[in-house]
Amino acid sequence: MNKKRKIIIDKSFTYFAITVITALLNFPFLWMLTTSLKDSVEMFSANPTFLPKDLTFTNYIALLKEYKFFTYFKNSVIVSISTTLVALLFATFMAYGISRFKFRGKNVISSSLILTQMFPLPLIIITIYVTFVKLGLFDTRLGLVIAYCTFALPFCTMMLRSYFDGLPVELEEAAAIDGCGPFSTIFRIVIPLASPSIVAMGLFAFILSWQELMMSMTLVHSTALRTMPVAITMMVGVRNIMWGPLMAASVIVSIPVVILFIYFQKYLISGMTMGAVKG
Amino acid sequence: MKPKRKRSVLQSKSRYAYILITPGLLLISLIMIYPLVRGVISSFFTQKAASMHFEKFAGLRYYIELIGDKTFILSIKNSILYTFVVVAVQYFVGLAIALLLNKNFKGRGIYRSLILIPWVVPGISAAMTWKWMYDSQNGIINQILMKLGFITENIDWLGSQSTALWAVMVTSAWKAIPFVAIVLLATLQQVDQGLYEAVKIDGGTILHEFRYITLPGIKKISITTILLETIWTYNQFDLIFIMTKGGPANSSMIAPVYTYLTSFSFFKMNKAAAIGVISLIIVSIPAILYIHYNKKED
Repeated sequence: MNKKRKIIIDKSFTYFAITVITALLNFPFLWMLTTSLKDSVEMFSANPTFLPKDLTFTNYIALLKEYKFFTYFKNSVIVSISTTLVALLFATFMAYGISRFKFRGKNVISSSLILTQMFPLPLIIITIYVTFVKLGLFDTRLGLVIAYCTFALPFCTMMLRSYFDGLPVELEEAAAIDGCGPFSTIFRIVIPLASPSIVAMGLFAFILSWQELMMSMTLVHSTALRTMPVAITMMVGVRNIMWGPLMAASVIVSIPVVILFIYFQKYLISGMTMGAVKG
Repeated sequence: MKPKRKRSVLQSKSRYAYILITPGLLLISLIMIYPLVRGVISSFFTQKAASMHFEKFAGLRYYIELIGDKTFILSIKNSILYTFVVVAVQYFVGLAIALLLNKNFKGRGIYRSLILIPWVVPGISAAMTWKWMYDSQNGIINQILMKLGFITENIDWLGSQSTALWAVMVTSAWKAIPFVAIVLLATLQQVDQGLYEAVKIDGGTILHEFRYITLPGIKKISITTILLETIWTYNQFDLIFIMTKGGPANSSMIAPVYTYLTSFSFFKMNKAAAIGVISLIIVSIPAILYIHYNKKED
């Protein structure tokens, strides 16, 4: 009897603790969501309710009409998808090369890939800025995509490499004996076999580029090319902050990421744990 | 003959390796290695703003300038404090969550997914939402604390020198807790459950289980995670930049934000590079430990 009771108390404690923690961790996200659906009277009320009393989309409409948010959304989509594709293309080849072949400098390359992730970005960006101005890549989408490869490419390469390390080589050897060159081996065998991990890495690259602020703010100046994070940062005026549209914009940036996450959760979790374990 | 035969067909063609690796390596060298090297060199030269050419050798001029720069000294102090507090909170709360989620109960999967939301939400949204929650007039944090009787008048969390840095620390810890929790949870689940049974049979308590089984099981991953989080947190830019821009009166200034502002708001690129080099040296301590530790374990 006593033992059973102890188990019940233990279980209730677990549920209680984990529910409180989950609620606390999720509150800001939900608060952002509900604020964006409130009108300004309710938003600034002295007795706020968690859910809006009158659901309104005025903040979202203002975002589209007054803040021209569609342009920024479009720019973010173009830049993030391009970065993802470029990074994946380079990373797949590079990761495969490092994983499957023995060559001089292999260890140096692997270590430097990890090290690049630790560089202070403000130091790097000073030179990227002056170089891009010189090369005419400043204030272009192409420039931004190239700059985004600084974090997307080493990261995807490292992760894919550790995934390729775990794949059996027999299939590829058979293909090589049958006369497949390394490129057709990659396209016909490795990519189809590794597609789940490649998708997961692509998602990481997309999510990282989608929310990047420092480079976008520095390397793009014209309004027409501005990405969402920069546009949102600039919505904060000196005195008056329009919290309604601001929260609506924050929701719009978050939604694609949250949906992708829910949909591909399994891959992302295995990706992040793998990254921490293997470096 | 035999050992040679055993070599993989793939490995014998190492020239392909170079073909595969070169494009990526070239890109990384151009956008990371070259900017890093040139950044370090530029901290020893004078240069016109936004120009590619160095004017003349300046020696340690910028570094000496930094010693007398109060904001710089403060930014390094703040960065170290910020990193230490955020990583410590992240780790211990993350560990607590991982231990809870490692228990067997219904709905565990749903909790595990929900826990991850802060980590998934983009930094820009997180920073803005917390800024709104901290708002001195209508922020929910003031309203709740007021209702509960903890405070009698609104506090300007991000606008006062004594609270700004700590307020952002809360946001930063909140955002990274899920990562630590999930990584630790994944490791806890690999610990042999039979060991726990053995401790029970020997009459051990929960504390024994933790001390002799859980702790050794997560030691390695804890060290790597803490080192990685230390590097990431030190280099963090977005949260402080969006929430306080280092203010008020530089009270929440951290090194990455100060480097950026020195370069792109005050247009002193070479001095900014010198600050960046100092950060590079600081970050290289956990970075070298991390690489060393990873190698040793392999």
